Amino acid sequence: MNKKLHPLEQWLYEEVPVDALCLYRIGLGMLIVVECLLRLPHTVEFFSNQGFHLGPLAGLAPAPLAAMTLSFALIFFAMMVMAGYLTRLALAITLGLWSYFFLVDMINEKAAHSIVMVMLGFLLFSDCDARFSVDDWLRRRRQLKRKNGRTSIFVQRLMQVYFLQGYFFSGLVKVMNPDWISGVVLQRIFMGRWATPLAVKLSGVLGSTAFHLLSLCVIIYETILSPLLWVRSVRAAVIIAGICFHLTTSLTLHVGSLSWHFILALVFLFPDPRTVRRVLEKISGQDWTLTNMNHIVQFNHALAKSRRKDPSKNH
Amino acid sequence: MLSAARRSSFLVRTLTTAFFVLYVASIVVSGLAFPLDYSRGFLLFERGWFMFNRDPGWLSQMRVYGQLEEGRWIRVDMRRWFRYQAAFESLRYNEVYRSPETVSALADYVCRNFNHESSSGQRLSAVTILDVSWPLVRGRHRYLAEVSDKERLYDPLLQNHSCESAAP
Repeated sequence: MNKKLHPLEQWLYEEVPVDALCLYRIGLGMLIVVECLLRLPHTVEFFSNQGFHLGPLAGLAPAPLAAMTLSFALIFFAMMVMAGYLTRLALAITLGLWSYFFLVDMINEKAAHSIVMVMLGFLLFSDCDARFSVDDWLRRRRQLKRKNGRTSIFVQRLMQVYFLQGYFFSGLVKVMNPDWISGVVLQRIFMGRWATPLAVKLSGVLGSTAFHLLSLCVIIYETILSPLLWVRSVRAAVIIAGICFHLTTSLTLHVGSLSWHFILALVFLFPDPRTVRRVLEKISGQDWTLTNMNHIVQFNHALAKSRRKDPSKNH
Repeated sequence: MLSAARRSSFLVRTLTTAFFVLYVASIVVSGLAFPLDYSRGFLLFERGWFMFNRDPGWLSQMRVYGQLEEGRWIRVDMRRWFRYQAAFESLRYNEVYRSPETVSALADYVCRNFNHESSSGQRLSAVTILDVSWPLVRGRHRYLAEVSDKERLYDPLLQNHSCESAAP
């Protein structure tokens, strides 16, 4: 069916296995839960009306007890997203609570926070609950019709575009700063307030030539290599390079969950969803197409049986 | 949901394609905003672009001083309201962007909270906020306390901000 589409249409709408998107949902839920747990002890300072806020909804900050309750609710619904239970509802509530907190406290805001909002928004309009979810398990258990294991790649493309623009334009901003190209800014960053002890040590060991080369590597990855994630022949190499880049960033700079969001996207959103599925089948040693067909046979069998019992259902 | 759309009418396909075009266009417009100097771009797209794009080579810390009603100046300990360590030598209040509006808002917050917690006569009548900066050194993080006076730079961000303007 895909072959009949125009190449551009195929790129945007082709049907692919939904597994990669579902695994991304689990990973995103997990990152949100971890982030919320880490900031839980600071809830009153971050989000309550006792703290100092500059966000557009600063005036609507809740009382400390309400802020605490909302924080726990956010963790609960993020866990539901992870588990895929009442997935769409859980996604909507998680997005609502996360956005509300985001708009209250923008002092301690991180780039990862807007990534979460955009990704939750996209997942809300996807079939990310079709597999690896309690919803799917319940459908099978109740012998209801399962959701299609294939979906349009459209939502995944939107997500890919979001991550790619993140790379490309931050690279472009760096290109425009001569101090970035020369390595001066990177060296300062390794000595600065966001630097981890490892980065601070490296700033004393590495010379300016090393920082110049590292800066060029960062700029080249962000502006030239990242768009190659859409080129099948080099994709694997770019993904590996990206994972190395983000692991290095998380070891040298206090950037919160940002690196993990990009790694999650590189692992689940950028590879061909068919490849992700083949890998999963290899890992589980199971042919899922066959499993799905067996389920359909069982479902049809149950349906026929119920119709035999109650002939009025035939119409 | 979208797999259904995939099979459905021409209208759905047209609408989603239009959305995609609009989405990409808004990203491009936002992305070119900084190089072409017309704005910062849309909030949800541009948050990561300016991360680490420059570094002045200094660390800085805001210091808040308050004038009591009796006239004496004291240094306000911000740790009573800000405990979260946002970065090296930087509690959350220190992450505030240094603009007149945000620093005034911080001053109002200090006035309001300090006066709410203090007895009469011990309340603040005015607040002054300074930014203390010190240079980075290679291979080592230096706390402000380790830095000599000669290396410190003081930048007054807000002077004698009246606490009367701070709404309760």
